[in-house]
Amino acid sequence: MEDETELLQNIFTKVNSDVMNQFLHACVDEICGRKRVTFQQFTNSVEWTENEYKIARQVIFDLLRNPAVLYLENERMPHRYVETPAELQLAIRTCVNIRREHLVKALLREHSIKNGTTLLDFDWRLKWIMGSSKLATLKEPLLQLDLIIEDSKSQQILDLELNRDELDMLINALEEVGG
Amino acid sequence: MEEVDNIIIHSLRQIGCNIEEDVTNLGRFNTELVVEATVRCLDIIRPGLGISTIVPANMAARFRLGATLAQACSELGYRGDIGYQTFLYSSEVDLRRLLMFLIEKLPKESDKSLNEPTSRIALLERQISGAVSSDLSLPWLPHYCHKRGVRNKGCTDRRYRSVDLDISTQGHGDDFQDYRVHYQKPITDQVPDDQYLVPSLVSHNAKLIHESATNIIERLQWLDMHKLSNETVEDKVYSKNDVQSRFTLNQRLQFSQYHFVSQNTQSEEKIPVTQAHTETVTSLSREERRELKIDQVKSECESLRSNLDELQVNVKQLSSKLSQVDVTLRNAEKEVKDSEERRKIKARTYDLLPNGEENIKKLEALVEASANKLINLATQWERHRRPLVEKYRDERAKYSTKAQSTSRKKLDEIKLLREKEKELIEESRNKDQQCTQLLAEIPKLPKESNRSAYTQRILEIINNVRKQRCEIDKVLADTREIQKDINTLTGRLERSFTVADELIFKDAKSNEASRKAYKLLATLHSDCAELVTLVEEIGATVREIRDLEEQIDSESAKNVGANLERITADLKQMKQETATLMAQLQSKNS
Repeated sequence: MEDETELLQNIFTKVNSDVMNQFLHACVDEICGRKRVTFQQFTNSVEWTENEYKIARQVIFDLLRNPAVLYLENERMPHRYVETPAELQLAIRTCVNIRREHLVKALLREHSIKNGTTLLDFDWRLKWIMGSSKLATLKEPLLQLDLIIEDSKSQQILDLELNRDELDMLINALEEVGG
Repeated sequence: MEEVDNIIIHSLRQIGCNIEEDVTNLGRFNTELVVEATVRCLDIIRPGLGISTIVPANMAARFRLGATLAQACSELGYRGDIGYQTFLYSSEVDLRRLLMFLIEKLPKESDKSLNEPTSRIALLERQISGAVSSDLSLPWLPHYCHKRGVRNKGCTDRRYRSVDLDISTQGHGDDFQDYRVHYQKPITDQVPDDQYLVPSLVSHNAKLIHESATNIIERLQWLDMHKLSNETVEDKVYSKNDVQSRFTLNQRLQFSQYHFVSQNTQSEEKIPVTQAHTETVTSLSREERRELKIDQVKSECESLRSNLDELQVNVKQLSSKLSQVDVTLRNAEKEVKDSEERRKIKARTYDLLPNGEENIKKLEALVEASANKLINLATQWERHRRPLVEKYRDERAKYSTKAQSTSRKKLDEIKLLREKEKELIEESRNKDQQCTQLLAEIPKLPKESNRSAYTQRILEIINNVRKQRCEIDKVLADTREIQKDINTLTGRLERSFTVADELIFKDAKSNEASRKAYKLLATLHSDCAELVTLVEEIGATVREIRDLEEQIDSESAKNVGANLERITADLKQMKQETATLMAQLQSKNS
């Protein structure tokens, strides 16, 4: 326990506050599903070894992904947070304060995906159908709806073709559920 | 020959050759036109050869094309002299023979299709129908597999992938300002890939428009509790829900809070009561109230339903009772009527009772009178009836014999007429059908006004040929007679010569003058024989000269000079091409 605290002290005292903030925001970005944080980004500005970088990344990730940290209340903070150096605590606090909305969103999404299939987004194309194999002249709008859903295993596209009535039904059902 | 040319050009136009209006005879056909005409004919006679109608610029390819065309023609059974030169350096006579052969070979069954106008519009329609049928034969594909075609213009084949963008405008203070100035990345850097950028922007915009604000602490609370509960309680709460979406998220938030708050309070959780908790409590009470209300309404519904059932049973019973009562009522009414009639009769009899015997007598008299009346009426009826019946029988017998014979005849006639009518109707129907068919065929028929002219000409030609034949026969008979005359004359000559020879030979032994005469006769005979042979030779040479002149004519008709020029030009071109090819080869080798 003591060693780890010291190690953390060692790691994080090498960093000045500006780079620390950069590192924290990069970590938040990755949690939000954007570009990954790489060691190469910080090799020039910090004197970390790759191993130290990995430890630092792990610690920050653990902290930022812990919902308890997001309350920003001192009583609730986990031990890990308390063990870190004071400057880092301050940096984390300001970072979380700014990015709290994003982090909560990302965590909710992650949690939802873990527990079941989740609709992430949708894409649509509206087409004007002139006829089908059974009717020579149909002339009806048809919506191709792609529901982009993700579960714990994979991301996939649910492709639906809806006419006007079916689309109304779907929207009503979703609105009812959404309250 | 002009007529033959006209026919050839006409039929070539019908199979789709693009012959211009001012080309009226085969002499004006150039190489391209000759090749096109031949290829089109061959295509129709034997589809699937796959020869292009366009003459290539390369000389070697031209020769190959000509050779393949010649081979195809000779395979079809063309017996004349044919080779690449027939197409590339065409002479009018050869070309005419070839085209006549090909046009005769054209299949007659396809006359209908040949008669169809092969204008550009018809060709376009055929192309369209071809394209549509080929499209219909394609298998179904999902939309993102379609990349070509008009329908998919404006669609991307990129997948729609988005990430959450950070374009927040909320939050004031130095920290936020600092973040935005120093650490917030531009949106182009926020997306992992260029493909994500536009979809992410679209999604972000949609979310901004439709997002309903929820308290961040509330969400956090839910997340926190849920995580804890996931650690303590193993089973998944929402495993039944297959699709969870951001629409359902809010809903779930409210319901789940109730669940977990109750769980947590039961297990005496450490989480202190916060502001968020009070919010959940209010929502809890709201839920409870709603549920209570629902229970009340449900119990009311149950009681009402049971009431309804009872009432329905009552109604059924009462209606059955009503029908029973109806039946009894009707019976009672009937009884009442019967008893009333009986009562009337009884009342009369009671009226008559006081003078019983008198009344009985009266009644008896009445009965007798009525019986007598009845008998009278019966006799009267009998009197009237009998003659009428007899009359009726007579009449019936009369008419039956008469009417039957006439009616039968009429019936037969009617039947015959009916049959005739049917036949006539069928005939007329057939004729109508024929008429419509013929009417439909009229526009399809080729409108050739010069058909009769052609037949007239053909008849004239046949007549001419007949006359010529007669003349030829005459000439042949003449020559035969002359030959015979010649033969007899030579025979006579021979005989008279031998007679003269013998006579003079006899005299020659004694007479000097006759010896001389014999010598002279011999020389005369030999000289005459020489003369005859010379005449014969002259005749042969004259014939030869005539043959040669004909040959010269035919050769000059082949316009050898022009063809030679063209051939030499082509040779030059080929030499040039080979030279360039050699140069290329050399440059490659070096």
